Amino acid sequence: MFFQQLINGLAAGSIYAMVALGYTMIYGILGIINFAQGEIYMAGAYAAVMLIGALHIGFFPAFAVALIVAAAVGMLMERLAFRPLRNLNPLVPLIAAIGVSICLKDLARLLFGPDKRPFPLKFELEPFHLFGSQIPALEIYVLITAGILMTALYLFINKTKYGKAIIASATDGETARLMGINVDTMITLTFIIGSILSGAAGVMMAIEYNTYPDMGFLPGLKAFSAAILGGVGSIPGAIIGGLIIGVAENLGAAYIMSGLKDAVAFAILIIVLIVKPSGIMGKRS
Amino acid sequence: MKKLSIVLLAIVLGLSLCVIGCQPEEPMPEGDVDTPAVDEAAGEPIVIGAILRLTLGASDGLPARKGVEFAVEEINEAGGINGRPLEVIFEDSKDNATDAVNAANKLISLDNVPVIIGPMMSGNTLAAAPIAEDNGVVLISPNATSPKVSEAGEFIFRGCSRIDMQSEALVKYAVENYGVEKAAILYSNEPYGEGFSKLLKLYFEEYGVEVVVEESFMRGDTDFKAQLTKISGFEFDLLCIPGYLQETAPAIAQARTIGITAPSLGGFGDMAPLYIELAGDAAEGHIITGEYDEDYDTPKNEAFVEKYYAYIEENPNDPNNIMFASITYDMVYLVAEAMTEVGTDPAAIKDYLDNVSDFDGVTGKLSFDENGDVVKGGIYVFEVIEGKYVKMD
Amino acid sequence: MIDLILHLLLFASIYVVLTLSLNLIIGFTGQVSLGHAAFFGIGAYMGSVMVTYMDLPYILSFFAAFCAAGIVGVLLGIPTLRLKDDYLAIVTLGFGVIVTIVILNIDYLGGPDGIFGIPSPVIAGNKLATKLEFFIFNWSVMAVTILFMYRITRSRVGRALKAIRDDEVTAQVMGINTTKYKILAFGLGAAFAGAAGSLYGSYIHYIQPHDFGLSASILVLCMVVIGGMGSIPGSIIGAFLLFLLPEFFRYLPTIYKFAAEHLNLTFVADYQNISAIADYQNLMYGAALVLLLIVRPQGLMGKYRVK
Repeated sequence: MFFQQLINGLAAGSIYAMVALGYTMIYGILGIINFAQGEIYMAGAYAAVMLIGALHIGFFPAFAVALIVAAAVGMLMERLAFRPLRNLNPLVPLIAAIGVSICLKDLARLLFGPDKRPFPLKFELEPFHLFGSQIPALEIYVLITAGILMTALYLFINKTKYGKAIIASATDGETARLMGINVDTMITLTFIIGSILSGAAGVMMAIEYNTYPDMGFLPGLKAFSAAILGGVGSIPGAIIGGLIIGVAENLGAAYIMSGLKDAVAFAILIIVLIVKPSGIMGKRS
Repeated sequence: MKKLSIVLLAIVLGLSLCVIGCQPEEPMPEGDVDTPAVDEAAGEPIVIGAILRLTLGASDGLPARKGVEFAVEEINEAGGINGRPLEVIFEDSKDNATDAVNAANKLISLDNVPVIIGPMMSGNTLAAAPIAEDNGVVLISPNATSPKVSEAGEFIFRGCSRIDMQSEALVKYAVENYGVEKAAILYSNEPYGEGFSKLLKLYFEEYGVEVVVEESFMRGDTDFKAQLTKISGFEFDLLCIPGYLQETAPAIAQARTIGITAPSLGGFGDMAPLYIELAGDAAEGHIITGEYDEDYDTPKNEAFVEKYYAYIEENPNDPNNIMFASITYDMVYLVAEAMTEVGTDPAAIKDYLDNVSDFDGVTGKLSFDENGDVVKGGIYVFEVIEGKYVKMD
Repeated sequence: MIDLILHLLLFASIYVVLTLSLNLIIGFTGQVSLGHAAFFGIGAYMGSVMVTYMDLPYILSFFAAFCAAGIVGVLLGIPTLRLKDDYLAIVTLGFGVIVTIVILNIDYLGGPDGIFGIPSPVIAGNKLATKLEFFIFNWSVMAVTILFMYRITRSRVGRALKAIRDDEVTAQVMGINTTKYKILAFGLGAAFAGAAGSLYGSYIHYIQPHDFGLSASILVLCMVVIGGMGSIPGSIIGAFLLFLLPEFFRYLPTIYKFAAEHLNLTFVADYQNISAIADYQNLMYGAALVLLLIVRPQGLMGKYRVK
């Protein structure tokens, strides 16, 4: 049973991790909390569901297009809501993000209706039998996909020119600009990458669970906590933070009190922050 | 960049207004401003209010609204209420006590309605109830199940069965038909789910069933595997999942993937085609109480079912839940009958409703008990058989 | 009709008190707090339990609500106020969520079903009954709050708070005990939110955990920011504006009908379709928030401030 809960937790956690990466990258480079990140995730999910369900496109092409849609939504968000509000008290873009979040949720409700939508494709998958427990196959695939995407991100950030430019812009925007880096482009690129990850997470959630306008809210909140837990601005931190929250809330629900499952994530967060305010992987400020 | 954003946002807002302006006219049962009210019913309209979940929770609120609209349409076509057309002012409760309260205040103080149909959640109903009670306005909630609503006031009624009677019926049914001796409960931690769960436990004890494990979840949760894995470690013959279908349907689906095979039990919130859709094969054998039986054999109901499904066929993207529509449909007809007999004074309407008996509704033969809770002559129990809810006797 | 206007005004005043209380923390002291509605809830529950279950006098419950929320605010502040901006944000956010969930799980407080039948306040032997009486009472509390906020922000304490907001390091260097003042602001902000909670419970006569959750915290936050951080008139306007904005949409069909019938005006969309605007409310509300901030990022009455 413990192993089952652990895998549940890791699968949930890797989804949080992917969205957390979006938060952490955007925070790292812009210094703002994108409260609407959950809605990018929702956009990815709806894109996949509508492409497959209404237009009968195959799974993999739909997945790819969904990622593009998520990136587009993220880019639009950056241009319209965040770019005009730079260099202000961070609460201002926060509220703007909240406004965007409200808009997108309502738009989804108006366009697609309020009902939860099951994923239009049925995957007939045999559960894996590992260490004496039955693990739903979908969870394993989520772990694998998330792993691939996050590894790709890691390589991109650390091994490519653009990745390094993003880090530079995040570390010191002014100096980066002086060095000839187009910081604005890097910001947009960051949004695109973060959105692709969130969109992918959204599609995976749509498969495992269901799609509905408010679906981004709770995962968004938890992912945000994960980003902070891991040390905001730190990519490995976001991943670790996400996994910890996923595992902790599942184990907490299993062994402490299930009613408090959602509170567990926050309780852990608060304790960690009191003990180490910069988060697990964060640098001491 | 700033100017561009402003321009773009202004365009979006302007477009939305244009889109609204260009929408084709729907036939409005409320009575049109420029086309005259339906021929037979003329004269000063009688206006009632409705507070429903029209945006948040629209899956329940829109069908409820349809039920009201159908009833009003038919009543006006048949001559209205003593020749006067019936009109409804719809307000959105947004699942929020503040909005429910503001809506109730507007309906009572500005629109001077004698009756309000709604709100749809126990929490909102309890928030709006004092206002209705203090002002002597009749308030009928179609589906608030909290026991507290029974004591909310003389003017407060409800159109669904009391949750304790539902619970007893379910427990009795499970014990008598499935020989249940041990039960597991996974409940939704909000007023409806928690109240329901408590009552199930009460009746389980009465009927000699042991509750071996109890877990809970929150509204909006999508992953129940932690709780279900824990539950699967126990032995039981029945898994009860009191809550809203948005969570209970995925919950039972996940329960089956984990390997839980015991039959499942839930409440009337599960009684919707969407539950079956979301739960898939896991829905098979699900036991619930319901407020409405589609196969109820009266001419009025047959006509209602036909009309509702014709509407769904023309509007396949609208939420499909004939049960909520049926409850509000009956409530509007009851109110209309009351007003036809005794006029629009809310106190008189209240007295009429208190004393009505054997009203021919689509949900059954209706009357209200001394707390204002509807009585249908028994609780309906349903089981999912081959993907459809079938009423059990 | 008068009753309706009084209702809206007196209900809004509760939000004014809330907004002012949060503004003290965010606008004047520069500390982020995203879980403020939790204090609103603590005050509401404390007050309601005392008048409903324990039959204690209202005034006592009001002060108990004030103090309880304030104490919790201080207790929360002590370990967390050394965190900076975003970390503080998430901690306060988490605190808000935890408080709601904890209340949800306590049976004595009614659990998810909340507390029903909260009696109206009894002030000096008179039980408040009419809207006018509630209006006078609530607006008095609001007036006292506004006065308090003016006094404190213009005092030495206020200057210390603003110094912390503007540049905490410099303030420390200048000898200001920043921790003490931050906790003070937090505690006072929480306390006034608790007072607002007491007003809320006694007016609506019913409270449930859902009323004090994240949505409520976000709403108050919006009121502060849109009104203008660090501006007392800003908070008053922000609270009224955001409270009345959804009501504007609610009354739009009525306004239109009135205009059409009495002023012979015709619009692009006709009556039925104006009612359909309600469907787009949330969308337009969100867009309005963004638009307002882009056009006037410092809030309606705020003074322009670069980070």
